[in-house]
Amino acid sequence: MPEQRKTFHQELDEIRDEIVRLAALVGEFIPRGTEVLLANDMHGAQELIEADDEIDALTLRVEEQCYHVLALQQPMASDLRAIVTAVWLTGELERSGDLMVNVAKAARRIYGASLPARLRGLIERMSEEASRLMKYAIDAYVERNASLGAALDDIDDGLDQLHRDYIEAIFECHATHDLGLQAAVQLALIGRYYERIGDHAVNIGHRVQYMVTGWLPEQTGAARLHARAGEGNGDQGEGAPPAP
Amino acid sequence: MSPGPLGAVAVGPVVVLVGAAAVLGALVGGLVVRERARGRHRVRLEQVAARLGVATGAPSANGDDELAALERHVRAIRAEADAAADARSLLQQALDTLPQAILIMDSSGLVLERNAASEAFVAARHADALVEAAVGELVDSALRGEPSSRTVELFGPPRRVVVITTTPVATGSEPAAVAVVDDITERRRLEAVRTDFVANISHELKTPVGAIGLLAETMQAEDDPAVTARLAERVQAEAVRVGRTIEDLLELSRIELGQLSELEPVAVADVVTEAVARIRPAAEQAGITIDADAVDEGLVVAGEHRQLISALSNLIDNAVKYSDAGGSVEVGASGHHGEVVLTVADHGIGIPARDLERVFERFYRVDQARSRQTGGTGLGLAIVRHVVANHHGSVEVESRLGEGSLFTLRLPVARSTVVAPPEPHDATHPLPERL
Amino acid sequence: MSPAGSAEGGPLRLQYTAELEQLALQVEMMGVMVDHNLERMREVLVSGEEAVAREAIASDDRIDATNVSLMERCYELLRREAPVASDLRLIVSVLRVTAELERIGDLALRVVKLYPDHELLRVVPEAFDVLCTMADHAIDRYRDALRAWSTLDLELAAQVASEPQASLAGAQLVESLLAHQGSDAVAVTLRTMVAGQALDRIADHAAILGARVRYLITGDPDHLAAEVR
Repeated sequence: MPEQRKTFHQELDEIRDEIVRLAALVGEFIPRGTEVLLANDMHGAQELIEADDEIDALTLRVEEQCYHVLALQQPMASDLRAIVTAVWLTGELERSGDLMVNVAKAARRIYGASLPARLRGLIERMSEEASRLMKYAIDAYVERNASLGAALDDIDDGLDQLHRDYIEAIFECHATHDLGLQAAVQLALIGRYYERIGDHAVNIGHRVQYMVTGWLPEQTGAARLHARAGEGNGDQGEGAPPAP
Repeated sequence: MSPGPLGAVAVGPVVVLVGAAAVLGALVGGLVVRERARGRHRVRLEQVAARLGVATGAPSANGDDELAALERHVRAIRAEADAAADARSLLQQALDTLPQAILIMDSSGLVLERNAASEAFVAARHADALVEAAVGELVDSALRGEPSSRTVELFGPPRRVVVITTTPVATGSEPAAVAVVDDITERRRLEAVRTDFVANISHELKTPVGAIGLLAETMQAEDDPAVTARLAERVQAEAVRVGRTIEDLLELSRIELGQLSELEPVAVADVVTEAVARIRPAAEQAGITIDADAVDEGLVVAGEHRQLISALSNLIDNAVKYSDAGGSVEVGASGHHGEVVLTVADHGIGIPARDLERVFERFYRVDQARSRQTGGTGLGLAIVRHVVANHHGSVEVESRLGEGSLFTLRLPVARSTVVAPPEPHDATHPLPERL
Repeated sequence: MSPAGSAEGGPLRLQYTAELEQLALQVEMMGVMVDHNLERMREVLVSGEEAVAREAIASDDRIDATNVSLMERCYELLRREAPVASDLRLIVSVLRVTAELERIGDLALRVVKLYPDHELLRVVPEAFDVLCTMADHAIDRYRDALRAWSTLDLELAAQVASEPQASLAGAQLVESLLAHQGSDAVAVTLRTMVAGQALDRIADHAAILGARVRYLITGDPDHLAAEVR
């Protein structure tokens, strides 16, 4: 019996490790896609678009692994939450990767256009901010840190503000004829991709909160209280390790 | 005679000894494998010896001899185990000093041994998790008997390049694999610096010399004095350019030797004033203002006057070159916790993040076209870096494209205030945090 | 003598099957609630009506509550029963689908909450037209996805899943906005883009719903791959 629990937890650990790997691949995509864009690197764009297959394949593998664990074991409440969280996270991560593929594709569409320095600077900053958010999201997941997961909402405000500045700068550059219409359109879309990666990181934060505490952000105070009470009993009965 | 719990006594000490030897054999095996628990095993050895003494009751002379032999045996094993443990600890320490991460894994992927540098790649997160995964894959192929190697480029940040190499080994009859993770980022960078330098220097010197040759040739064939005069002007301009490059190269190689002719107390205020004065005419011509803070006269560093001016004026020159007309450059100097901090800030075009770490290289250009316009030699920041190194200081740059750059020089304050202290300060304004 | 287990096993099994059916129905109901809110979103987009916006906001709380209760039921089933492969697929799909529905509801609310700035959205008529078209498109795709779920229509699910992304509309939107040179240009653009992005993403999530349904029907991992695509 203890033997089986152990292999089960090993499987859970494996799922977590695979999520961390998936997140690392996506995390690499962010600075890499930004560099492709800023350096006008068409070869790099193609490589990035192709590398997305690896992310997709890993996403599928992790989800299958989750099914496998669900089918063969009867996980208790907190483990069940960990598995469902993993299934959700694969979706968030995979779509974040797709967004950087979109950046690479947009870079191809504006190939040769010279980007004003101010816009380049803002793109670099949005990229760094998106990377940072994603990193915190994964830290929260690995450390089971619900408070960090919750904080992502506020940390994301920085990226939203940057995005507003960026749109404003696109307008200014377009008005002063430093930026053509076609490039301005693509750049505006690119800004949204970074912003959406931030959104995905925030979603991961919510999922982590749920994984650790059993609460969903949309739950009301009363529902949370109820969930907390139910959680306490369940975990005591099953002897689950307390959340750190 | 009924064999009781002490039945062995009846059979004789020899059997006891055989049993003890088996115990010892097992213990020796255990010792060799796990000397981390050395202390515990030693206690157990002593227990065995003690039990032996009791079990033999009143030993015969023969038993005495054998006991003595056993004791010698135990001592020898203990000494061997200690020596093995010491040797192992020494090896571990040696491994821990290596910058490369080293991991030894068995066929089930379990880490048998690893050094301190491998810490980063065990239960890793973010980019390191990709290295960990790659190590896992390569170890699998080494376990199948095929050594393998892979270069992994990471975008980070920071950007890194690591080479993972795995080699098959064996522990006893079990296959195992050694993985070495080597961070070659710096090596790659140096290679790039070297090849770029060779390419750049030939470019920087050959272009003006070629131009001079061509211009001279044209002059020879030219009769119109007006045209000849114009050509001569261009020959002169090119000659000035190549002369400046050579001058900077010489200056750089002198500074690179790291020989400070004499380490004297240098007043920072003088350095700032002279460096600003040197660049001001060019700045005014370009429509750029230089704002320099008033510097405390008591601020002194130990160094070489000429080199320090050269470093600061290069930074200011750079700031002016990459500012737009109507812009401003701010120069600041202050003392903090035993160091002098000099800052040069501009609001110009800025430096892309990917170039930030390379701008201090000789001839490194962020934007080839732009630098040709500004007429820099491409050596200014290299000079700054070497001057700072000679003075045991540091230089950092922060920059945002389209927003400007901030260069920060940090130099240690002169240890003894050789220069006379400034006129006594107002008692109501005690010197804050300085010196 | 029959063991107690089998005597109870029959009705229990029946109850379990009924529960699964109930679960699928509840999802459909949640889907209809989201559908109503998308309708309200469309109305608020055109009219800026505050009363409708308030209805939508209140309704979204109910959608969220439904999501929570559905999730608890899924957990209960996963924990209590040891679902066989196809049931497992249904339960996990419910978890994924409700998450998508909840997200679509949130995105609709993002548009609804722009109602105080309704006038700004109409400043650039071309952009406003694009927004309305995007809203119609998003709602259509959502309805197809929901229909595929309730009828388990493989063909329809596949069609929703494979429809290409409508980022063309997004580009049109930006283009028309950049042509506008008023002093309110940035304010207009930011709000229009919030709406445009939300509508774009609703269509996106509808495609994911379609792919999920297809996988639910076929159980073919390749179809899971199609969702990832």
